[in-house]
Parts: sequence; C-alpha cells; structure tokens
Amino acid sequence: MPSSALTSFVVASRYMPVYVALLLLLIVAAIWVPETLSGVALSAIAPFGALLGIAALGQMLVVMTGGIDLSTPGTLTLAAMITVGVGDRADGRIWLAIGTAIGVAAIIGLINGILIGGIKLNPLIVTLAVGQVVIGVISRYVRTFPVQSPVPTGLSDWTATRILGVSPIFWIGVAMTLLLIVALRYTTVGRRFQVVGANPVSSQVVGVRVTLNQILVYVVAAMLYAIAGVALAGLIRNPGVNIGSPYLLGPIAAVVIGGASLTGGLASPMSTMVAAFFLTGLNQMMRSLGLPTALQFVVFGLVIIGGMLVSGDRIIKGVERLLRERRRPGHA
Amino acid sequence: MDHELVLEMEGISRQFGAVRALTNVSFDCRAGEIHALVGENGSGKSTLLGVASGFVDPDTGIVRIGGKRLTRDSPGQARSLGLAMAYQDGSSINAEPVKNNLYYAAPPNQRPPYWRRKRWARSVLADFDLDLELFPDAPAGYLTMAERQLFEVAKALVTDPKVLLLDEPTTALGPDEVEALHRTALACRDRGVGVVYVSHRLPEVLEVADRVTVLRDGEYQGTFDAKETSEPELVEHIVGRPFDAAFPPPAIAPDEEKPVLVVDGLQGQAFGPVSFTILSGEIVGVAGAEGNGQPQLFDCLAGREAPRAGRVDCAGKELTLISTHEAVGAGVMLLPGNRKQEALMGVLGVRVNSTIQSLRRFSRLAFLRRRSERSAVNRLVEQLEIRTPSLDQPVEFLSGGNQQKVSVARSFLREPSVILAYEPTQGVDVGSRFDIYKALRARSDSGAGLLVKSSDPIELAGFCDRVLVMSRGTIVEEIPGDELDEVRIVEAIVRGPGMSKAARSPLGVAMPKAATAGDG
Repeated sequence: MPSSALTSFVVASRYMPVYVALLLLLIVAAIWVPETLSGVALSAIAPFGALLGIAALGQMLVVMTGGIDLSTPGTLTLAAMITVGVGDRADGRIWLAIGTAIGVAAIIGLINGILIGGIKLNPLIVTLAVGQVVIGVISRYVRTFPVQSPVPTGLSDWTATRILGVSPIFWIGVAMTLLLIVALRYTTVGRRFQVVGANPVSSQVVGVRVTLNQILVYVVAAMLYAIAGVALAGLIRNPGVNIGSPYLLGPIAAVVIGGASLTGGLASPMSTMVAAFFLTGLNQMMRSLGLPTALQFVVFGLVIIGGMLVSGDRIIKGVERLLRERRRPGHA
Repeated sequence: MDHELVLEMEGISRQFGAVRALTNVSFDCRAGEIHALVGENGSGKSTLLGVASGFVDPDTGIVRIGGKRLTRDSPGQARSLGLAMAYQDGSSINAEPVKNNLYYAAPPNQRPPYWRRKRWARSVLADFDLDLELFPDAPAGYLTMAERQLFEVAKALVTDPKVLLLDEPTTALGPDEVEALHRTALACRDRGVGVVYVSHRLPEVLEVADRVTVLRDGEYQGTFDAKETSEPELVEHIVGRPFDAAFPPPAIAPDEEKPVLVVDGLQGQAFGPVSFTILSGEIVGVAGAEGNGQPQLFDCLAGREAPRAGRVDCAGKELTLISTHEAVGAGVMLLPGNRKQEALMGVLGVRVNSTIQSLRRFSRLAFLRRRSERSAVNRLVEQLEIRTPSLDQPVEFLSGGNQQKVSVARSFLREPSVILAYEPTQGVDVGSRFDIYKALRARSDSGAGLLVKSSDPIELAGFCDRVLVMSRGTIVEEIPGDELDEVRIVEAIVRGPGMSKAARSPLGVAMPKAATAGDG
C-alpha cells in the first residue's frame, strides 16, 4: 500500500536531520581533520558520547511528557560526588556507592515528579530550583572528604577497559538505548507512557494513570543522570564540583536535534543517542581544529538553534505542505 | 437585482490531510441581503468562512471582498477590505471589560478618545440593539454564553463592515436573544451590509434569509430563494437522503432484569440530584438546552469530577467516582464531545489510539503482542469503515467522522458495560454518522447500556430508546420510547424551568420551530 509507506515516511521524517547532520560531520571531518576519525580518537570520544546520550535519554523521557528537566547537572554531579564519597577509595564499596548514587538521584527525581506531576507546578522552574538545592547540598557534601579525592580505582580501571575495542560505558549507552526502544515499542508501560505524553487529558479520560506516569518519569530520568554521573566520575577519576555543568544544555540539545516533539509524545531513543554522539563529535572536531573556546561555545549554540530550525515538528509541517502543494494542480 | 456583490468566492477547494473540506465551491453575497449558508456539521461551512475571512488558505479559488481580491491568507487584509466575522467560539479577552474589548475591535481611526470609551461603548451597543449596553465595565469573561455570542456580533459590527459573517450565531442563544440577533441582522441588511448567516437551524434561517446556499460534504448543492424554498426541500439537499433511513433499528426489548447503571441521588457541581437507571441493551438519550449540567453529569459518571452526594452502581458494583482509572476499570467508558482534546492522542496512530484501553488483551507479561493487536485493529478498521491510509496514520489527520470511529473502536476492544457518549456525531460528516450510530447500537445490542447526550433532537428521537430531559441540572422529564419524536423532545426542553422566557412566548421562538425541521 503506497499511502501506508507515505505515512511511515512522514512519521519517520522528523528523525532524519540528525542522521544527515552526522553524515555531514563525518564528511567534514574526513576532509579537514581526518585524524579525528582514527580508531583511537573514536574510541576516546565514545564513552563521552555515550554518557551524554544516557543523560539525554533521561531528558528525552521528560520531554516526551511535555516537560523539561533542568536539574540534570545537579543530579549528575551529586551522583559523581557520592561515587567518590561513599566509594571512599575502597573497591569493595563500588556497588554500594553506585546504589547510593542512583537511589539518591531517584529521590531527587521523586521530588521533581511530585511537584510537577502531582502538584502541577511548572517543570522549568521546579527543576531549576531543585537543581539549585542539589548544588547547595553538593557543596556541603564535598566538604566531608578531601578535595580532589579519586573514585575507587576499581571503577576507574573498569572504565579504562575495552570491550570489543570500546569503553564499557559505550556499551552501557547502547544497552540503555535498546532498553528504551524495547520498552517504548513493545511494552504496555511504554505504550501508556507515550500516550500520556501525547495528550494527558485524553489519557486521563481513557483511564491511564497520568499523574503516576508524570511523577515516575522524573524518577527514571534522574536515575539515568545518576548512571551518567557515575560513569563520568569513573572516566575522569577525581571529579570536581563543576563536572555537571556541560550537562545542562547538552542533553536538551541532543533531544531537540534528535527530533523529539517538544509538545510531548514523540521521540526516538535511537536518534537521541545518535544526536549525543553528533554533539560530542562536533565538540571534538572543533577542538582538533584548534577553535578558540569562545568560538566553540558560539558554534555549539548555533548548532542547537539549527536543530530547532529543522526540528521534528517543523519538518512534519513542511512535509505536509509539500504534499499539499503537489496535489494543487490536480484540483484546478 | 442591482445590488453590488460585497463578497465573491469562486472555485474554492481545500483539503486537510486526507479530508476534502471543500471541493470547487462558489459563493457570493450582495450588499443589503442576508445570505444563509446551511449544511450539517462537517459540511464545510466553517472552512468556507475561514477562507473568506483569510484564516484558511485555499488550495484553489479566489476571494473578492467589496470587489477587491484577497491576495493572501491574511485576516488583517480581509478586515481592511471590509469583512467582519463573529466567531462561533468567542474571541474576547476574558479578563478585560466589555468596553475595552469593543475598543480593541474597532479600527483605530474609528476609536473614541480612550477615556470616553465607556460612554462610546454604551451608545454603540445600544445602536446595535443586542441588549448588551447594560454592563460595559463587566469583564467579558463574566458574560453568559449567550451574551458572549451576541457580543461577538457587536465586535464585528463595530468595524462598520461591508460584509458580515455570522458563524452559527444562535448556538448558545435563547429565544429572546435569537430575536435580538435577527433584529440586528435585518437592520444591517437595511443599511446595505451583506450578511452571511451560517447555521444549521433551518427555521431561523428561513425567518431572516433572502437566499440560502446548501453545502454537503464540502460540495455546493445549490442556492435557493428563501421565499420560494421550504424546509423539507432544503433538508433533502442538506442530507442527501431521506431521514428515516438514517438510524439503525431500536432495541428489541432491553433486559429489565439487568440494569448496568443505577444512579441514585447523584449531585455534583452543576447538576443534581439526579436518579435514573440504564438497562443492558438500552440507549438512553439526554436532552436539554446547553448549560444545564449535562457535561458535568457525564464527567462525574466518568470519574473526572467527584460528586457531592449520591450513589452510582455499575453492573452491581458501587463506583467511588474519584478516578477515571477506576471508572474505566469498572466498565464505564466516556466518549467525550471534544475529541481532539479529550479523547484522542492526535500525534499517535490509529492503532495506538484504538487499543489504549485494552492493552491487557494485547499483551503477555507486560509485553505487547503487536501482531494480534494489528490484526484486531485491522478488523475494526474494516468493520467500522474507518478511512485511513494506514494503521499508523496519526489520528489528527483523519476527518472528524473517522476520528470518532477510532474512539468508538475502543469500546469494541474493551467491551464496557456502560458507554457515555457526549455529542457522538458532532463534527462528523453525514456519511459517517450512520456508521457511528450502527457501531454504538451494536455495542448496546451486545449488552452495553448507553447514555447519549445530544443537542440534536432528531438524533435523540431517531437513535435513542428513551430520553431524559435535563434542565437546571435535574431531570425534569422522561420521554418513553413510544412517545419519542423531535417535537416532543423540543417541547419538553422548552417547557423546562431553565427556559422560562421561552415558556412565556412559545410563538416565534427558535426551539419549537427547530423541531419541525425533523419532519422533512
């Protein structure tokens, strides 16, 4: 059925730009800075791309409910600091540290969720405020252990290992992406979640537990940030209190470039993850090209604006218009 | 006639997604006439007005206002060419007083000094003769629905238009207000304004219009001289088929032993106490003028709004009515009137929308069985004749009728014991209406009880087994099946305490005349 194929094309077209962008990036890199495409260089950025992607997946889930989460840097940093503090340089405490980090993050998410999903406060302001509180907690918490303390060596050694030539963090990112793809596509939980994002009022009418979904999404998102935070701590061994700051805009940028509908309901874990790699790769290339830091910020910002310009919602409208224009002559 | 044409529309076509809203429609309006545009919901009237007023960009065709061509889809240009429109759903700033809203609506060169606007508003409104001049300081949001609708007309008139579009101006109006509106429309005509009057109430239309144009399914059906045509003739053009064929046969005999919904003394924010029972296999209608507690009753039964008092049993179990989740679980399904906002997830596909209430049926251990889901939805798409290019077509691109079929399809998969259908055919094209009646009747035949709220007495009379008439939030009358016809329903509505004005002057009011439309 050709019209069915057309439907799939229109529905899928919102996720296209990120793949095009990635392709362009690879072409540009191959021409000007081919050394960034070497195996070594790629496997060096893979874990960073993956952990940006993991945080972006959390942000994506929140955006799918029509919300936004600005507490990402706080949660992510706190998780990293807990890995240091609870880990206490002892390999035996790694799992305890990871568990605590994820558990504390879940509580932060729950607070976000109750304020936003339960009490229906504005997500932008709530998460910004909660993030602020978390940052306050962090600056108190880091005083309980020596400055520049490292994570347990077991953790940092593990991040330095290679599975099939790439850091295990990359594979965790891949696993998270697959997990979300399966959950959203093949489970009832994912289906209900998607429906709540697409239209909370209708979802309420048909009997889906809207509030519960809207609360839990912040919990799940915060746990994903925590995973990213722990991975980041392991990667850079002795994390400082500012390691989270690039993760305010980064995940949002990945979600937008990944083609999610900012009004909720539609997003793709795959293209969000790809977008995270695109952004990480772009960053890396700018550094290899020796662009001044100031200019890097400008380019990064422009790319996000570009991402908004070719965002999923606008593409769908454009495709619709094109189809309509094409039909016009037949009418006259 | 030597009157100039103030509005000309030639060969207008417009398609929304897969839906042809208008196909090569031409329409004109002369200075000093009232030209009515009639047709059922979804026949393209609103789209045509949208094109005329510059809100909708037509695929083909041209629009001329006062002889000058509308060159792009710009409401501002349409306005400056002399077109004014009174909107169906209101365009006032609710927090601002009436006088300010009127002030903003006036073109800048016709505004009075700002500090004189109250006196100006009062005198302008008095000129329009719409009984609105009393409270120029009241925020527009405090106006009643009827006053709001009249105020829309006043805001359109204040621009001193050459052509005035009235989009279903009488929907929320009582008889006295309809009279006021018609007085004003006639006064405009006498001043040489061309009035386009969109309505589906034929008696009102014939009362004031000079010419009547009929649309059906986005196609032009003809223009008639109001003096020479009759309601039955127009109805035939509007519907395109005889009326009696339009409804499936009624229930043979509802099962007296099996009440599916027992409502006892239920009381909520804007209604009650009400008590009634719905039997298995029965379709019960709810009639009444707008604003008499019907939506609140439906929302309460569906668990969207907690009741103040009373008891509701569904299939023998008491409902707490505190959550929709519980209501759906107990077997009460609401089909909301506002489909786009309250029933469907527009960006998601037909399949996802159809099965959302029956995921358990299509899953094993929380994993979806997509193949069985797909085949079940496929069967329903065929059975209910849902016109969609694919199962994953986002429902926002379907026509109103097909959207409603998707939400009705849910009840086939879930098989609830009670279906609450609020205006099930509003915005649904004629062709799909019968399909929807048939589908809902199929549900009742297989044991469900239906409560159907409709503002269309013909629909209530033809589709329901009995009808409850609501007024001021309570059930004032029950019309049993053997007495059921449009006239009887309308009489009951008009007689109710909510319409005391109408009861005083039964002649010349809109409602009883509207009933005769159904006899055609």
